[in-house]
Amino acid sequence: MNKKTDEELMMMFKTGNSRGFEILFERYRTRLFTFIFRMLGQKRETAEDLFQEVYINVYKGKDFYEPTSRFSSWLFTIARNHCLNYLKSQKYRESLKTGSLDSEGFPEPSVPGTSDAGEKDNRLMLENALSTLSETYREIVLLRAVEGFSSQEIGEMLNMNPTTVRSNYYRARMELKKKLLPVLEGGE
Amino acid sequence: MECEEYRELFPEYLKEELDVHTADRMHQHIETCPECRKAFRESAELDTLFARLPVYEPSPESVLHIRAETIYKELKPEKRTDFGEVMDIEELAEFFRVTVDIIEEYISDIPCFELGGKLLFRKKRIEQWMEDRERDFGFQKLNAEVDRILSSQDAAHSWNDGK
Repeated sequence: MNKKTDEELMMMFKTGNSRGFEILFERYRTRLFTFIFRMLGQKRETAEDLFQEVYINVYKGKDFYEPTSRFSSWLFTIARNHCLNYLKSQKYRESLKTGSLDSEGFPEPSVPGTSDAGEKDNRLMLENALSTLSETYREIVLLRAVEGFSSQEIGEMLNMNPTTVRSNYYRARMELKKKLLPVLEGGE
Repeated sequence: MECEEYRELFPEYLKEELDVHTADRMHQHIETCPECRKAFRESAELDTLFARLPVYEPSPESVLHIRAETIYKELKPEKRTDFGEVMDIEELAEFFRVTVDIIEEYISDIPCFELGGKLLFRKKRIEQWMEDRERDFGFQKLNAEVDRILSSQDAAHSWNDGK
């Protein structure tokens, strides 16, 4: 059953077999949480709340899923909308003012790629640089570079022209490059 | 194409998403333009960094909360209390919160009757049977306790006798 495509599992779930939901949940939970966590600028507690909301909404909103679109696009669109709503809310503005964003810091990643200290620093620099990007740039970078969606797919998800997605992605990368210059030049 | 246009396509080029013709032109341009070559190298390094970004796990509490609010909430069996005057074997098992296998194991003991090949149980008789069992169980416990007291007395007396 684990070899079924996302879309097949979602259709299973839509037609009453909850096992479909369970497998999809397991398949995406780390990726989705990581996405939400980064979208919110590494606020773990809020990320946990939104992560729960997104999955509960996916469960309750199964009838809104159309098999013509990829399940992953649908899932990440829901997650992205939740994140943006939250970021726009007054609550978030207030938490920025009181500086609680800075106090939480970065938790230890669950799957460290390497134990090399320099490598870890580079990744931390990228994490930091990502959280300083504007919300629009950040979501495009996360969806494109981390999640691997195409400009076309992101365009559909964000209701944006794919050409605009591409140029925004380019500008976002330029910003990141500027912030990461010491790291990138060190590699030459 | 201008340098800027080529640079916008670096991510696609790196992911091998460009058509052959554009990829060819890109290759030639990177070969001949030192500025773009440098920018391309940086772009590739940035992609390498992205690929090495860690992932983060949600807390077990979040996972539990989602399960509780979705599958469990929708599918958990409701506890029945509305049993009729006559129950079949499945209903009786549910009534006692045991499996049908357990009922079958005790079937010779449980008051029941057969109708059309089906075993049926009258709720009144079952309640009476339960009372009997309670009483028997109570007697058993009492007997066991009396036996225990008697044997401890026996032991004490034989000790005294021996002295």
